Amino acid sequence: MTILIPAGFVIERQYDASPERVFACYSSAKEKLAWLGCHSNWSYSVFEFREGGREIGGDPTESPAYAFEGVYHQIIENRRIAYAYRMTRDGEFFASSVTSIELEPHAGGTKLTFSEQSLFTDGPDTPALREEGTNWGLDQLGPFLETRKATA
Amino acid sequence: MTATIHATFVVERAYDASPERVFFALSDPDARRRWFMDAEGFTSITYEPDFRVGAREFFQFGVGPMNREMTNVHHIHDIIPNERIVLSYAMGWVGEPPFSASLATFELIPEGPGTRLRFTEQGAYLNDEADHALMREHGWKQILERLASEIAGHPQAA
Repeated sequence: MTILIPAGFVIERQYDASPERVFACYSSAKEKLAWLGCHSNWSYSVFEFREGGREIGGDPTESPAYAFEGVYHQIIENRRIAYAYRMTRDGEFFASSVTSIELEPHAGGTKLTFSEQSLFTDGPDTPALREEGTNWGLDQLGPFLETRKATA
Repeated sequence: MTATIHATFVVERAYDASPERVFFALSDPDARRRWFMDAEGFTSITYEPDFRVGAREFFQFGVGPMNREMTNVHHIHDIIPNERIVLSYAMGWVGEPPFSASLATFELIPEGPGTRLRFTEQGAYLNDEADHALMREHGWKQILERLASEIAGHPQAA
């Protein structure tokens, strides 16, 4: 009998940028790749940022090679993005998640609340690594928003 | 706008049938139509199953006396025959954004001559209804009862 491990976490971040600017970091493939780059050759074969649209990405040059297949379920412009996705490692399923990203105007900037519930198979990719990786990604977003402010 | 509510629940149900038999009822298009679509208070409008990893399934129901139209879209994440099914599903009223996006996991655990089904829902509830997870849990309990009737009442096709 195989084992599935349920997990979940919530991360809050405050950014010194408007919800519109933070939202724009998620709504275009080019912008998203520019800051969420934890895999050096990650690319999207599908990027349909709309309700019911899919996002398919991966880095086939890596070993092991990770891939993401997701569907956007709800998008409220500048406020909320909700999606579900499955992840594979060398083509093998290892995790499913349902995620929401909420943006609220707060203290002259934006409060971002990232909430995720997941199931993991019993392998090298663990819920703790996912949470760590998500924190790392959200840490990149602050400095990235600063660079966008500088060039605006 | 209100915040998304994330919630998890688990419903377990024992069936007097083998994991193979329960998996058949969960995966066969004709069996699924009976226990999933043909429920009291729901009118089946569109039934487009496609039970393969990576596939999208589309279902539409009329709900209640006014037959308000609701959609349910599945994406299949993982299938291990006779052991487990992982899928995501989003539900919403036609013409409106979905009110929920969830992961649904069916695990089949052999128990004596029968099977214990453990259903786990990890849901993101996207509208302003704090009791949504409770309602959903109640709904799944009813569905898993219908699955019992399906297993008892319809011999498996050879």
